[in-house]
Formats: sequence, C-alpha cells, structure tokens
Amino acid sequence: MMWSEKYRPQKVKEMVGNEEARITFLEWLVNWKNGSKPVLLVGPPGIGKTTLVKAVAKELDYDMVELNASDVRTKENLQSIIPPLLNNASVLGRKVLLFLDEADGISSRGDRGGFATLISLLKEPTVPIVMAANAEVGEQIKELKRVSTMIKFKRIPPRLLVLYLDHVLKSENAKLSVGDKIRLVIASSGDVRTLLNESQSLATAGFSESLHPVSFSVDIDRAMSSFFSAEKVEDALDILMRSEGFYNDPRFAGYDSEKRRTDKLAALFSSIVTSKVDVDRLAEMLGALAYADVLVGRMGRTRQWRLLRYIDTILAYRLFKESRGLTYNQYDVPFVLMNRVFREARLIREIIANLAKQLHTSKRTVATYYLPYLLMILAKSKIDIKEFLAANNMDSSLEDVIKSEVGRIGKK
Amino acid sequence: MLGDWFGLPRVGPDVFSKLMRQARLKYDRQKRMFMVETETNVTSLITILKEALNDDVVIELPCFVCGKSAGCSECEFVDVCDRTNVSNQCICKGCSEEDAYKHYCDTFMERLAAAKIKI
Repeated sequence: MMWSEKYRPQKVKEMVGNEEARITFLEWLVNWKNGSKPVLLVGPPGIGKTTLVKAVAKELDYDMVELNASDVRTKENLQSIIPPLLNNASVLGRKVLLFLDEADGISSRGDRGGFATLISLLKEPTVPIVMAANAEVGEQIKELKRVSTMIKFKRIPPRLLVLYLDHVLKSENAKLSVGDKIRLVIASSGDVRTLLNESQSLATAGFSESLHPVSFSVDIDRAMSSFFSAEKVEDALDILMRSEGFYNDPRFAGYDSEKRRTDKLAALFSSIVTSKVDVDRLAEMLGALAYADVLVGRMGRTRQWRLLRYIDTILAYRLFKESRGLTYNQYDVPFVLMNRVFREARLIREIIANLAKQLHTSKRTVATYYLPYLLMILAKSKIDIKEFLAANNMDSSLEDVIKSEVGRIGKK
Repeated sequence: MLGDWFGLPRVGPDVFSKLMRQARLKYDRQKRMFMVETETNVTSLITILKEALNDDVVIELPCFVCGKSAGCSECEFVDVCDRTNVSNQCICKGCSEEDAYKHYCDTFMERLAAAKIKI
C-alpha cells in the first residue's frame, strides 16, 4: 500500500503545517449554522486540504458527500445532486457536509454550465459546504471568493516535513540516510504526498524519481537534442526519463515561460511543428503528442499522478521512428507569426463566446459545430461581414479575423 | 518573527497604507504594533519594508511547539526554504528531538483547547 494513503492523517492533530488554517477551518465548522457562508480552502496540491476535510468530517461525525474533479459536474448533474442534499440536510438524523474538491477545475466548457450553477447553489447553504482549489487567482476563484470565506493554505516548511517523514519511517521501521531525507524534502517542494511516495520508493526499492534532478538530471535543452539524435528507442526513452522536464496539468495552463520551457509536451511540440517534415510524418507525431496530452489531462482530472511516469514510454515509442532527423527548437517560430497566432486565437475565442451567448449553447458546441458552418455561409453567400458584426452586436475589430477565416474557406 | 507583534519606526501614511492594504498586516492601535497573520501577503510586506526602511528584511518563523524562534538562520534548509511561501510556523531544533511528532500533535490539541474548540 502507498505510504501516502497508509499514513494519510485520520485526525486533524496528526497533520503537519498550516496550523492556523486548520484551526480556522475547525472554528468555522464547529460554529456553523444555517446560512453560514461556504468555505474555500485555497493552496497548492499535496499539502493536506482534502485530508483536513476528510479528517474533520470524521472527527465531528459528519457524513461527507464529495464531488471531485473526476465526477461530471455539469449543470444537470450539480442540480440533481446538490439541491436534494440541501433540502434534506439531515439524512437519517446524520449531519451532512458537502465537499467540492478542485472547485477551480469546474470548467465552463467541459462541465457545461456547471460553474454558474454552483455559484447560484452556494448562496443559501443549509449544510456546511467546503470547497478546495489550487489556484489563488483567476476568474473562477474570484467568483468563488465572493460567495465564500477563504482560508489560505501554504506549503509545509521543510523541517515539519522531516518531522512527519521521521514519524512514518519509524512506524514502517524503515531507514533513510540524513542526506537522502534532506534531498527528498527539497525535491518534494513542500508537498507531503510527493515526499511520502518518493520516500517509499527509495526506502523499499532503492530508487526515487525525484532524486534524479539531484543526482543525474539532464537539462531539458540537452535532453531534447539527445532525444532526437538517439540511435535506439531505449536511449530515447532513457533520456526522456532523465530530463528535468515534466508534464504540466493542462488545466493549469498559463504558467510562466520557464515552466513552459520545461514542459516536455510543449518542448516536443515546438520542435515538431517547426521542423520541415512531410504531412504524414507530421500527422503521426502530432497524433502521438495529442494522445499523450489527453492522457496527461485525464490523469490530472482523476488525480492519478503516478501514471505520469508511463507517458515517457508512450512518447518515446510512438515518436521515435518519425522523429529521427529532427532537432530541438524552443519556440523559434518568428515572433511576428507567434504574435499573430495568439492574437487570432484570442479574437476567435471572443467570437465563439459571443455566439454561444446568443445561441444559448456552450462555447464548445459553437466551436465544434456552428462556427465552421457559419464561416462557410459567410464565404458562400457574400454577406457583408461588417453588417454581420453589427447585426450580432460584435465589435468591428473582429472583422479582420473573420475575413481571414472566410478567406481560408474560400481557398479550399 | 512571524506571528509576533513587532514595532516599526515611523514610516509615513503612504507606507502605512500600503502595509495595511497591500500586505494586509494586522495593526494594534493601542500597542502601535504590527503582526503578520495568515492572510498577510509576506512577499508584498518584504518589498514594502525593504523600500521604506532601505534595509534587508529577514523573516524568522516561530516554533509551533515552544513559541520561540525556529532558528531559521541556522536551519539546514535555510537556502531552500522560501519563508514567504510556507505556512507561518515551523519547529526549532530543540523541539525536533525525541518524540517531536507527539509533542507537535499535543501542542495542536492545546491550541484547540485554548481556542475553545472541542473535537
């Protein structure tokens, strides 16, 4: 059994770090009365937000109803789960607590209308509602903050991590050298779950992934160059595994340029799209990347981070043959072109949002089904785009991008 | 030290306003003292104080068990511990000795009792 599960604190006193936040949360729940604002726990992953809620619910004898990111949280689903719960606050005389984990992960696209529904349901709670989120900024968090009381959680100081690690090692009758403990604590960056998983790997199998950066990591630039020049697929896999790059959870896109640089998928993507290869090879490689991207997203949603280690193998074996002869390029698309791509993408999103509002449907539906036909109609019927924009209350600045999209269809 | 009241030389209304609004520092009018709380933006606080005092600002975490300084300057993690981004209390070397985890858990229960929270 994984140590991170085996030693997941069952009582609030057994946790380490964020002492004030834990006490504030307990105060909120103990003093909770009908109509009290929901609480929003905000902080990086792996520091005990979910553990705290589970432990406190158990200790204060609450039945916890949990909706996490792996559940479908569409408008319909939320409406079928939450209102009945709020109307029957006490099921068989037991107290109920509603826990919405990764509340910032409710997507306005994927979870159609889910977020707006959640906000409206949070306004008159008849049971304690607890939400947890990783990001502290963003539109959704801003909305959630407005209707709830926020409690901030921070990373655990290294010495407290050592304290907890020592407790686990003692319970397991396992030993690690002081040097290894320090390296593991540093590599975990205040994340208890990572610390325990890696410590278990090292203590039981003599191997820890997170110690790679300390012992034999390869800079992402060198790793990518070596990946493309490797003669055997085994070498390509080895270099991917030892690179200092990682896989970003796509739900938290918007990371800074340094993080993007070390994102393995982004690094491979920029190298592939900027290489001169024939369409079939390009399609094959982008297909492999898209597959890996979907898997990374799915692992993020279901929180099965341990599966990420297999992505290296999938990528190495699916990309190896087609990617021979390529070189590593880090976003060397000319700035003018890059700028245009970003600008057009932003404007197209604006058009989609506007149409979705008018057509009373999701942005995804508009982007997938409506927009291509709309552009086709505009191309074939010679409707004046200016008039079209004015009639649909859209900004005239969108004219250029629509013209360019319509032009592309015209060429086909 | 985080969690302790501390005084500042007269900083002027602009800096005081920044300390209250941007850094969200707690201020006691009667004591004329400041305190860092959970909501305090420590990074912003350091920037404001550095500018205002024209001096280096060093953060020291308190020990959760004994309440004294955790001894950050002598800690083995001093170079890697970002004290502006970790939770506000740590544990000192003295309190990390034998049965440290048990003492830490007991201290938490004492704090709960002091806050009149029964679980």
